[in-house]
Amino acid sequence: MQFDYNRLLTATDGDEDLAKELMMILETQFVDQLTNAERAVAEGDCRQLHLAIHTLRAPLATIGATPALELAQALEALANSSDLLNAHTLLGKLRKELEQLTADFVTIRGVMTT
Amino acid sequence: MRILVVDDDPFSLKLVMSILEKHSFDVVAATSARAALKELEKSTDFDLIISDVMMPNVDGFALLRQLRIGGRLSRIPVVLCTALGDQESVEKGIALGIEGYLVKPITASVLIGKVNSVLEKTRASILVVTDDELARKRIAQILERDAFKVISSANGEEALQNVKKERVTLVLADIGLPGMNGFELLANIKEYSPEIPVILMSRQSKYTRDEVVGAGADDLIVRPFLNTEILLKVGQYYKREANAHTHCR
Repeated sequence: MQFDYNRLLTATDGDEDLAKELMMILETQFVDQLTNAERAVAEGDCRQLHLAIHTLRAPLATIGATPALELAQALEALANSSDLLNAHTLLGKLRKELEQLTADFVTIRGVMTT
Repeated sequence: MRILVVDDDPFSLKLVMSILEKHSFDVVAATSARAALKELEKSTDFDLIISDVMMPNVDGFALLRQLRIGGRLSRIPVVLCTALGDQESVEKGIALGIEGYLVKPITASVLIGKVNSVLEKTRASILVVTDDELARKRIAQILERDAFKVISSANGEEALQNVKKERVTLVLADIGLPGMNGFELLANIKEYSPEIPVILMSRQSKYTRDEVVGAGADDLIVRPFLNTEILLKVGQYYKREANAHTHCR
């Protein structure tokens, strides 16, 4: 697991239904913000990249997804420094992390319904 | 209690809203600062605003600046809830008059703890001004029993100081005060903050409602009065609270 489910449950005060809903929201959010970030990198738009990645920061911290959070923070730092040289590589790594998280969410939801 | 939550991040918005709703708050969501301002155009009837900082187009600080321009909006307490935990952002928020700062990620207990402490601190305060100590105590008792926070002053000068340093949302003042009388106090309050409603109190048949309203007051309470009269008059300015208590009884 690339995140800490118990940490998410602490945030929701133990509400499993809310945790489930939040995971579903995040799945969509991952796709949307990755698309925005990739477009921003392609256009060399640091501000848009910063905004797209920043939106992921709080959710990733809330669910304790440390590897993805570190990548997001590194990308935010790149956007802040207006140096997008390594952005494409980092974004690729972040995409893989978010895909793994999405797979984890599906697994957890499967366990919850059984 | 009605809270406006402003966040462009759907995950954070859902989390904050769900926690607040679970604790019986009435929550309105806005996904941008512009959407928040639209909600506030429709109604300023909010007890608290919880806003993110980093949002596209108009950020949380710009929203705060808009809110602090004046009028009723400037009196709604604001808590910033953001992933920006640096000292500079916190200080910027404080300079813009925020009542609280939450750094994401947040948990349910942290959020509710902050919301309750801010609401307690900024709860509507009614200023009761009369040199009659018994009346002061009686009015305070009636209002406090109905969950209002009451500040008392024995004279106009002290009352004016309280208006300037406390979050006073309504004034109940005797006309016959020693020193600065009720009409002078009324003029001073309206000059300082015209949106604060002032209800003057007078002994029976000394002044009519038309006379005090003509002088700039919002209403008149004739003494002696019934407990329910005070609550009804005050309740006109706090409709939600009054309704909430009606449901409880």
